Amino acid sequence: MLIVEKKIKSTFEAVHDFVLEAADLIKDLEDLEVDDLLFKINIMLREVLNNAVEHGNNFDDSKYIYCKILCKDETFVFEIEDEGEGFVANDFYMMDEGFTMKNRSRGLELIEKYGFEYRFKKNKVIVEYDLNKERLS
Amino acid sequence: MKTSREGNLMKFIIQNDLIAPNVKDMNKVLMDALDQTNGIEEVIVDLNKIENIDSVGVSFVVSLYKNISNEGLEFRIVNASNDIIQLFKLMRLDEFFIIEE
Repeated sequence: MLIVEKKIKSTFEAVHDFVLEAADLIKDLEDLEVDDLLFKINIMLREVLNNAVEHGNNFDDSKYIYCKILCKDETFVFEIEDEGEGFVANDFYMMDEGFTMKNRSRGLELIEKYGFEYRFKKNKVIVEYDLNKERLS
Repeated sequence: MKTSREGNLMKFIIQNDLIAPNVKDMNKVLMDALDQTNGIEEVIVDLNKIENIDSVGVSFVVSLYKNISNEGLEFRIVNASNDIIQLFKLMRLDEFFIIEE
């Protein structure tokens, strides 16, 4: 089931608007209990999309980010594609100085800790979340 | 971001979501506020109004903590949502400053 498919501008503001829209759509899904998951999805989407804005498209407002969210077999699938050169895990967007006060990038670590699985395909990142995992945790 | 001062206590009330589009403006307010910590012993950051946060916003909090602790002042987070408290704990920020539940 397709939840949303949209292209957005390469700005943090556009990311914020899209995340709120996506969260509303996910919240309204029938037959799925996702309240406990919404905050995690919110953060994950912001990290992946902010990364695409900054490191993928270099804040180039002539470039877009293509966002697609699906739910199939009780698994959420988030596909985020930018118009950059391709994802490099080590460059993944994260705070300049963050976790435990060290200067390390741990955006992916946070996404992993929240139970998301991800893979890169050139300039696309695909993130998945198995809803059965949420029920079991 | 609103700041208030009562005795030796300074309170930062964060009014906009701690997310990338907002943090740049908040940094300017923060720099001004940090110039006025004379006589202050503790800084409280109130996150009551925060629903959305990202890593840029967390960086802002960490940066604020570092500035405050470098001045030898106490630092405390209050009124954060349960989700944000859990996020901070996941990041082990509770090892560095008090996060009131």
